[in-house]
Amino acid sequence: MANDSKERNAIDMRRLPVYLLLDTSGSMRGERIEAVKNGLQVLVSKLRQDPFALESVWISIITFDREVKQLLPLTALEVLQLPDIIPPESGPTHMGAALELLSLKLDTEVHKGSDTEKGDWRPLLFLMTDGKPSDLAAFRAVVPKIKAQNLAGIIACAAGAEANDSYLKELTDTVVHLDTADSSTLMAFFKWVSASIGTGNKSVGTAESIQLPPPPEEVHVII
Amino acid sequence: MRKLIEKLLREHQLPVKEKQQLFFDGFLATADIQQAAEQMLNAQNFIVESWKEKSLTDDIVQKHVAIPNAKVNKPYHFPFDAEALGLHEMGDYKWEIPEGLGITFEKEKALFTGIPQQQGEFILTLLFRLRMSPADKPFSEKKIRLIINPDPKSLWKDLPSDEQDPYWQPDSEAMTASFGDRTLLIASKRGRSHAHEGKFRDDSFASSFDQATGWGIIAVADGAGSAKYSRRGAVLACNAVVESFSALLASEKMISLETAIAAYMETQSEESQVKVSGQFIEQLGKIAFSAQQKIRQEALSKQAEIKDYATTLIFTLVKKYASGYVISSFWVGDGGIGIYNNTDAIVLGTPDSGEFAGQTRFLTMQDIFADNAYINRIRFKVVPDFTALILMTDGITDPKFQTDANLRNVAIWQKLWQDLEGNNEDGCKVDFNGTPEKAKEELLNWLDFWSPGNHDDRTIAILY
Repeated sequence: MANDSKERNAIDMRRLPVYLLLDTSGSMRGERIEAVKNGLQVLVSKLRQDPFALESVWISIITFDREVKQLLPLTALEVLQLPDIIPPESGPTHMGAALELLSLKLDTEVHKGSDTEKGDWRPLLFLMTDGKPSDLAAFRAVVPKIKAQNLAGIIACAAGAEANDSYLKELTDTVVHLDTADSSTLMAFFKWVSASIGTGNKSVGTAESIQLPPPPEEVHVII
Repeated sequence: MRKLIEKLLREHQLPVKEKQQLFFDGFLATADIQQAAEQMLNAQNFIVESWKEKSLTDDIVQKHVAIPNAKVNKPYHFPFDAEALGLHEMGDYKWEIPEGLGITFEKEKALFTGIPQQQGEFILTLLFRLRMSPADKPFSEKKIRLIINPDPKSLWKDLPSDEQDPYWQPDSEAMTASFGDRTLLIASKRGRSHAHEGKFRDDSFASSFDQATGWGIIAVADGAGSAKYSRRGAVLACNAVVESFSALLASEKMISLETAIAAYMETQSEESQVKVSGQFIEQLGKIAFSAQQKIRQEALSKQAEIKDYATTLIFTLVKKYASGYVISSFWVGDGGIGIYNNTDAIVLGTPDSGEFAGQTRFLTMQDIFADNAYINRIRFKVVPDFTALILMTDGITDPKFQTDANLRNVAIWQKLWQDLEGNNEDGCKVDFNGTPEKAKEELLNWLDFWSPGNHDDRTIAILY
């Protein structure tokens, strides 16, 4: 019985939902996707060393190429096991469709507080791409919807020379650029992501954004 | 065999013609052809069987088998059901587990069990044979990753806050005072999330009791985690309300307040209630506003923004009369104020909460006093008696009440009171019958209770 009540407590706990939207289009094949996978591995192990994250963070991974998939439904860091990511040979970057799926998941997976239910912490979104949205109309249609979700932070990352910052700027003020999408740069990015997630548990007014830790030198903030 | 060889010849564009049938029979009957055909069949069988074995082995090796993550110090229990995992062709097997993990595999029960000792990512090796393989066949290997999470309790650091900071305040504080025929205890402690980063306690409190008039005030505030000077905002707010309260007691305003209270106590009429309410709204509104003003002045003098000092504020005025206690409260932000009386709990307001956790309203927001919006933040109540009047920050209400609905649920208040009396996992007890000085220390200890995910600053004021 004692055990039973502990499990229930765990369910009642406030979660910090973290959505990772990852570009898996053809151009990500090879070294880049391996770097992303290593980065995710490091992100997860670093978060497991953070007592706040270990008890609160829930992660979801949505990938987008020609297809959009929620590779990992919102899952507690404690029980999470990273799925494999296999990009297709080639094809478009359906970032708009990915944000559309995200919007749906935010509505269904994230608990809003009510009189009788405990709300989650405001979710965080990290989006990484090495290109630009191929479905630009869909992208522009969904951006206001995502902005209306009142997320605690939207951090968009343009990785590599071909990545376009300006579209990402339409989604969020926080756009970072990586000059190269090699493994050490991506690793620095993911380490920064893990540090950013650690700041998500602050009491804030209803509309304020979280403050991010200073990025490492490989990560340029686009103003 | 005839068919097999006919097929072979056809594949080499040498089909046996109709008129060659008898001749073909003779060909098949020769000893060297018989022998060669047999060898061919054996070789084919060997290839097929070998492929079957290799392929089934590879199926098992490639099959995604996940073992649930473990946690240091938390008993681990995972039945390994090969059939359910889809390893149908697996025969004999055993597990190789790195030494010192604290987890073993019980072959008879097919169960992983133990109390994990080391955190990290480890490789477990499944050594197996296929059902079809003979017992002397060497084992094949399958590697499976096991994640053992650290015990979160072991990860929290306790770093001191910077005492040189102009806005420094002690990481924990407690007080006790006599409130007429009652005793007040207040304890406040920096949360683990702040201690982990060497940050400051953002909660504050203040109180005062006036022997001459019998009026007392208790204030509790919680500075916003996201605002850089919020700890000062909380301190200023609590001190300002106590100061304004003293000024009020010395002023002529008290005459109209006491007159209104006396009339209400005597008649209990709706009209007299409206009058008392009006008095409290006016006086508590002024007291609360003075706190906002105080913070505004401080922000101006430091050339900072008022929102840098964002804080919640709850306070109550209380006085004992012959027929009972008059209690009036002001509430902005989260946390809670309740009058607990064994079978009854009266909550003096509603927490400000948003759709997400951690979202609330602050005293420092412009619109708090605009358009008389603060009127609903003020309550008053007359009770003949009470077990305890309790004011708490969300560091207590989040873990102990969880939802706004629970704050109105007397059963949860009863549980909290029993919890304070020692009915908890650690047997941590506050003896309300002992000396107040001892109870104060006990209350500080009680604030260390463990609740996953709830590591905010904790402040509780108990008038009993």
